[in-house]
Amino acid sequence: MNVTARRSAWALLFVVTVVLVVFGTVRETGPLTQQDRIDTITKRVACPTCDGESVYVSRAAAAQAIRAEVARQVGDGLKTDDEIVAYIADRFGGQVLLVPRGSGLDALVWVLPIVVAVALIGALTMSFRRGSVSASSVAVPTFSRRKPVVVTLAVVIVVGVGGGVLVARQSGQRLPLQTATGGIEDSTASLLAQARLAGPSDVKSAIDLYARVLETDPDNVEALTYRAWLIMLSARQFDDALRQQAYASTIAALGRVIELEPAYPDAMCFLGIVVYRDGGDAAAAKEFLDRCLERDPPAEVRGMVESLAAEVAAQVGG
Amino acid sequence: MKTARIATLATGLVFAALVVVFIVSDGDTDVGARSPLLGQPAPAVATSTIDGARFELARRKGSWVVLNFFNSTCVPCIAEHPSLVRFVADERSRTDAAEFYTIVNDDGDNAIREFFAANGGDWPKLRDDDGAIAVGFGVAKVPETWIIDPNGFVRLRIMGAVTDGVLEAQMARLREGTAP
Amino acid sequence: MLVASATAHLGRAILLAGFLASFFGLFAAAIGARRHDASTLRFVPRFVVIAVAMAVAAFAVMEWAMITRDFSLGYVQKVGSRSTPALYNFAAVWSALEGSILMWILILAGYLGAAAWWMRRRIGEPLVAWALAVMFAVLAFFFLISFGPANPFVIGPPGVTDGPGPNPLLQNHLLVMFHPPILYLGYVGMTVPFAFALAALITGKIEDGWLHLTRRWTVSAWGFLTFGIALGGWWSYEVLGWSGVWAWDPVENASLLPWITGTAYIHSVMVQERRGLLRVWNVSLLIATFSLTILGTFLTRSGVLNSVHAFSESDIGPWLLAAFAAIVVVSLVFIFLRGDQLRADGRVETLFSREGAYLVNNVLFAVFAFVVLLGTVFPLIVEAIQQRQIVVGEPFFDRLTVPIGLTMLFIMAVAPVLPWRRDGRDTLSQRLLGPAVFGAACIAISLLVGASGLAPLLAFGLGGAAAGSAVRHLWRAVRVQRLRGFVGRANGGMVVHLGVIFICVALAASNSFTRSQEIDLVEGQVASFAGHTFELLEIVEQRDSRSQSVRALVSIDGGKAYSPSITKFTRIGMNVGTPSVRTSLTHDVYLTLEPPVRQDSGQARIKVFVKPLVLWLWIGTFVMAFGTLLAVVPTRRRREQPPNIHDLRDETIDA
Repeated sequence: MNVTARRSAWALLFVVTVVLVVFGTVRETGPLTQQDRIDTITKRVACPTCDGESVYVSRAAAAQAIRAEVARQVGDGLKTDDEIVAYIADRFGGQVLLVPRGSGLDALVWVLPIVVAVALIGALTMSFRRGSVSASSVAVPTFSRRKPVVVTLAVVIVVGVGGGVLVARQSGQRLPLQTATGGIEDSTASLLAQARLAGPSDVKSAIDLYARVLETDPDNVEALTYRAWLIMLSARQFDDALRQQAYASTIAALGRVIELEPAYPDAMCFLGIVVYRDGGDAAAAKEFLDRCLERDPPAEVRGMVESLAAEVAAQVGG
Repeated sequence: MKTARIATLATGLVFAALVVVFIVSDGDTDVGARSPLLGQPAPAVATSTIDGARFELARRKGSWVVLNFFNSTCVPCIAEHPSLVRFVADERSRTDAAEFYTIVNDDGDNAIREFFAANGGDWPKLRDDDGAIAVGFGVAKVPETWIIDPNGFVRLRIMGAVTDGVLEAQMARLREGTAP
Repeated sequence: MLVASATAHLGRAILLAGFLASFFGLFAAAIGARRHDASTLRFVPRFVVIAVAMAVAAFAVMEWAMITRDFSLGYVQKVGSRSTPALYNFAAVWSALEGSILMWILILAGYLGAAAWWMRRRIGEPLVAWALAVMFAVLAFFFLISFGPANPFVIGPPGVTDGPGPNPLLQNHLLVMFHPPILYLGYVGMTVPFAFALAALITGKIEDGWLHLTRRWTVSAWGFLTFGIALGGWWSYEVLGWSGVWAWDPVENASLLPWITGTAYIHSVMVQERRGLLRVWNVSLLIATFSLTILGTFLTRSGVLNSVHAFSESDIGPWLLAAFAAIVVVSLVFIFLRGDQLRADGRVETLFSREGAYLVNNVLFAVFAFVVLLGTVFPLIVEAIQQRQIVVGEPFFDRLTVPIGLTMLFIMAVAPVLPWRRDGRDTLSQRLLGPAVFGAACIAISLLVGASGLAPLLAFGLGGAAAGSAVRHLWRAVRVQRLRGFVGRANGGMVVHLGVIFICVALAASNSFTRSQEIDLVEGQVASFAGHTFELLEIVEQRDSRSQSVRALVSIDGGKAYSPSITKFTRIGMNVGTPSVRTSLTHDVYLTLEPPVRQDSGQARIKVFVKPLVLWLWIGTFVMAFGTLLAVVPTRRRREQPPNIHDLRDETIDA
């Protein structure tokens, strides 16, 4: 086969191959199934009790539980892949992120191999270039031999570090090391938590926070109950008319909660306390308080009720 | 053979650094373990006890809540059990008693019933089908004990078996309100 | 009690004797070599015999204790059990740290004995004497740590009558018996060429005689290492149940690192044999290979990292780290000192020659080794600097090693066709056309069966071209030499290349085109996925003294039933899932049973994986093993003595 024929053959082959490869790279592979999504996500998360194994690979119990959770969330279809990974990382810590981050100290693991590869290639090219130089020339002044070394070094550093950073950015984990505090739960739970913290000292803020919860979730029993309770508490300082108004709305709210969730102890307890303290009806109060205690209220509310119970019982008895 | 010498020195330095890293790497000890959830509102827990009664963690706000992730065949769980029984008995003598719950990790209802019948402990045991609660807290290995304050915030995480008196001491510290 | 403690004391005494024999052997060999003192050197074979005998005896004592279930020994308490079947019980000896060190000692002593016997008429030569001295030193080290920190003959607490047995994952499959010993034959085998290389540096006899001497040792050790690693992958596939063969976990990486540098070495050494070039590279690669076996042992045994293999943590870490440091320091010092003598007379003229290709190959494998090493130890570095834990896992390694693998295939296609010494670009365009066309055809065929994606397509194309190159070489050799054209280093090497290509193509296919799905099966109903149907026939429960298992019998495509299962080992409380696989040339159908299984419900949840070309991984492994055998077969009638370097002829067919 003569040279021209060979060259054309190679050219043809090159073109054909490029076409084939491009075709194959862009072709449709079919839709991503849920299982594919689950597998992709679990390959990004490390099993917390193994070392280096992904949740996809590991057969440990913890890995199975995480897989089940991922399957659940993928099935719900509400979160993106990144969000699901963030969910897991928010609970198990950043150490379950299997893909090293693309920035910060962690990015070194991406950058260093590229730098080493470029450096070695640079050394290789340098040694070949220098070889042909030293073979032909008799005496070469030292400074002109140093210049290509410096240039190569500079090129290596630029290309190596630059390339490494590019790879890091492209392949590295994009999730932050720690997601913002409070982003763990949905905003309702976080608002409720803040309201509760504010509660005793800053009643106004607490009431506002509960009101915000009720804007998005009008049937939220905790918000309804505690808002009503706090309103009643703060209304006690004011004149009668306001107190009456507060009383009526509190009773209505608590009544509604009891309809919504009959087993919720706090509502029943507050109802009893309010009926006695602000409504003056000891008999009704006693009944509510008894029912409240049946429902096993938490310690704080229980404490309030128990300190009142004796008094109420005495009133009813006497 | 200057290149060889330079390469040799460079390699030597890299290996020296590697060795130093190995020598220096170490761990740390503390009662409370790290978790991104510390100081955050506790994850939602909505499940049922092994007897079928409903349980929701959010409804227990107002009480200190102690959750213990447990499995009847795990050796450290069995070892720490008497300490837990003592702790619960101790708490029950207080008015603001902490509520204690066992979260069953990858175990059957019957095995749990048998274990508690034989070893005592009459607090509610909560089911965790599929391990969703464990994942919610980031619990990979049992036993683990979590303390949640009356406002619903996670305050302490203990990984591994609880030694005698530790829970009592930690509860006292948390109740006083001193920083962990 | 008296008998029990006798075993322990006997064992330790044997280890001590072995250490002393190695220690004195080291001195005898070193002093004899230094002073050229034949009478001192006469002691060396005797010390070899004693050391080998002690190594065999120590291993035998431990096996005896394990077989007779002697629970007075702490080690038997840890890994022995009355209910473990005999074969697994035998293998239990090397299932944990202390016993595996005993096996290392046994194999190392075996290699020492073989090397000493092979060179028995040349022990007077300083090169050989120093090599034996180095081997004695390494053996002495291992005897010492077995006598000390990793003592297998510790007397356990009294009154124990049974043990938990080895990890259930090791009891699933007979493979557990073969994987570690074969891997060790590879690992430990690298000590021999290392010893000779170091001896060459010490004596200053850096001409290439030592290379030729040890060539077959190196290739054989490499062959064992390759086969051992592949067996590990097969075990992972058949036993662990995640349907993969390689997870890039630290133990796997630890065994891969010496393989990478070892592969680079056996290629690069050809340049040194032919033209005396690349000496520094070769010595460095060989030392790196051996040091990496020690580093790998350190990483996996010191508890610095944990994985599915790491059965125990022990205070053996500092010793191994010290040994690693000592080896590296000593080697670097000698390379530094002998640097001038290592300089070659010629040089590699052009990148496009065979020598150039091997040089590029060295660079490629150096980068490969760096990537694997960095990824494995990076979490430690971060933890040391910032006190937080990170994980570097599969996504990192996959991303960086795929380009390296593709480049490797490219070099495999190009290098066999390049001539020595001169620029081969013209020759390339002639000889490579056929293989390149074949490569393009492979891409086309794969597209026809539905492949997609840049990396897999490139893998198929380059693999096809590389296969074409290898076949072209073999064809020309067979045409001239007939059956002998398959035998010898170059030809055997081409067969090995074919095996590697099978493996690369199979990996590309199974990693990129696996499909999986979890299916809830109800007894009697038929589900379908990926062109196959699955019917749950029944759920079977089995119970014995050690375990209870639940198996789901699933009929695939209305044919034979496959039974994935979950076994609960009652003593340890560990659940182990066992997959069931239907294999064929084109793809595997891999089934696992997913927990929780409710026995009486008539329902089971299975996960189905359809994995293309997996069988070719194992076919490729056997082709590699066969090729290695072909490569070490002598191509001429051999005298008893290994040949003098001046008798070297080129064994390759070269055009």
